[in-house]
Amino acid sequence: MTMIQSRNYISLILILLLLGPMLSSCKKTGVRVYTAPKETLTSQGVVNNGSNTAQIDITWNAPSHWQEQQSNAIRLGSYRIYGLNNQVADVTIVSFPGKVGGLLANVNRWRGQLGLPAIFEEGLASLVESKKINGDTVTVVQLSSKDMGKQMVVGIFEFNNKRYFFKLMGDASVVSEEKKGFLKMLETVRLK
Amino acid sequence: MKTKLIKISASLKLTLFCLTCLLVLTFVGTLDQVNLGIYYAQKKYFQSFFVFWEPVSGIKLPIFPGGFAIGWLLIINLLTAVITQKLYVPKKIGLFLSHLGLAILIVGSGLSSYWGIESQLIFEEGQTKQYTEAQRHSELVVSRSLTENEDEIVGIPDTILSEKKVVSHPKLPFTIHIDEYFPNAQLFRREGVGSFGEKQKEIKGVGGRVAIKELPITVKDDELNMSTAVITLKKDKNVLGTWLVSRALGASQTVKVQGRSYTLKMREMRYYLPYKLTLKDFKHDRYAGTNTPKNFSSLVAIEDAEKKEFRDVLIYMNHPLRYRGKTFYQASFGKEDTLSVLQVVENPVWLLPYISCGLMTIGLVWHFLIMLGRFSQRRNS
Repeated sequence: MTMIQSRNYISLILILLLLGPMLSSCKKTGVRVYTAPKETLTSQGVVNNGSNTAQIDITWNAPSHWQEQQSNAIRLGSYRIYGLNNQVADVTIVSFPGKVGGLLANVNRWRGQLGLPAIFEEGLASLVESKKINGDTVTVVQLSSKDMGKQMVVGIFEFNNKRYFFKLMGDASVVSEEKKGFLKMLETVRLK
Repeated sequence: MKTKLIKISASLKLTLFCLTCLLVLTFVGTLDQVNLGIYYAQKKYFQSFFVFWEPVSGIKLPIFPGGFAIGWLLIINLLTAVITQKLYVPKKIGLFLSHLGLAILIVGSGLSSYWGIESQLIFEEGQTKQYTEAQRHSELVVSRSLTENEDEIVGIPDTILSEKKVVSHPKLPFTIHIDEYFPNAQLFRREGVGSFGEKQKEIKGVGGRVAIKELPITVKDDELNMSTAVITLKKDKNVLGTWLVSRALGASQTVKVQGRSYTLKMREMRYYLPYKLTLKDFKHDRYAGTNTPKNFSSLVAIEDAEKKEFRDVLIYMNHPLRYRGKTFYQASFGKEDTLSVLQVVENPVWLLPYISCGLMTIGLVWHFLIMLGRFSQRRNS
């Protein structure tokens, strides 16, 4: 074997040695099987207070496609609604004794949550509507923020000097889609 | 012919050609990051054998060697030079070591782009996470409850979904037929017959009321691709149903097979960790009186029951956390400084650049000493 031949063979062997691992490593990710902890509400950042839940003295019927979330010491009920393109809305049900600061203060607080400026008493009329449901008066407030792309609908009941707030808030498309179902749910609210 | 080929392979001209190509590639690739974002610019220019130009949709012409091709040429060039110039003889061992170090560096960078896994850990203050996620990749996950606290998950990556084939696995009681796959799509609510005509009626769950608009893949760093697929599940010859799965759908869908519930969901590719990480605090320090960032840091608690390691660690610029084969770098932040994003890199060949630098240093010092010895000998004589 001449010197040149030996060089050729050595080069060829070295190149093949390198080519082997390079090409074998050029593989696609296959199907993976693994175990993972269950996705709990706590892992999504929702506080789970265990048995420390609120005393629930009303009943309601929520649409079946709303996903129930963990209630806690303040929330009587909580739902998440998934829309398309990762848009979501949340429904929360809370109750407080007394007037809770009055309607105007609450509306301005909710407007603040949507990045809207506060309003005076005379501005309330266009946002608030009173409805009679099963003999009870429900105050319905509707707010919308184009800048944030969010909407909010709140239904307020008064039973036994306590205010019950049913709030639907989230991405505008989901809220407008679910508003009908939300208002239907308000019709099912009863004192236990 | 062979001799000529070996001569070219070992020539300094080839080295210069490769280095010039690398220079051009780096320059163009860096500029094109503005259009393609970092991820796709890396794929196009550096993690490819050729840079393609698409004059007409569907026709791709190779117009320039990519990072892999240049790396290959450099390796061939280095090794043939070592052999033809007999750098392996004892008196040239310094040069041999420095060439070997350079070859290892190039091979290492190629291998790390194949074997390395990059993902992100995104968590808010107070949040605990046990997985990292690769937002650029999607997987269809089929999960079933294993125990009270654990699910068994079969993850089918987007690379397989895009082939639109039949996926079967011993852990799945059905076969998954990928009818349609869209790397990026937008969903619209639509009543009646949707985007698949009559077939749309057969789609179970929310998918039956949804129309799909296929979108081009987004390359922007701050936008996500909403991978979407229409899948049909079959058990033996029975069709269990057709579902639409998409990253644009937040909720998972359930399918019951032989009394057992399985959930279907398209989501970002996840890599689960055998330990938990909690973000205790994120800090974004600024220089006094200005908005100029001074420091970003994440105080992270490690909770590793397997290794019995429970400690806090501060991750900040140039001070990553290296833990069980993964490196966590401070990468970004959000939500008014309450959310931290850590870049997570798993690279099984991370040691190669260090070995390479060590070899090159030893080789060059060795060669310098030999030359110094020869020079002083010549001077004395």
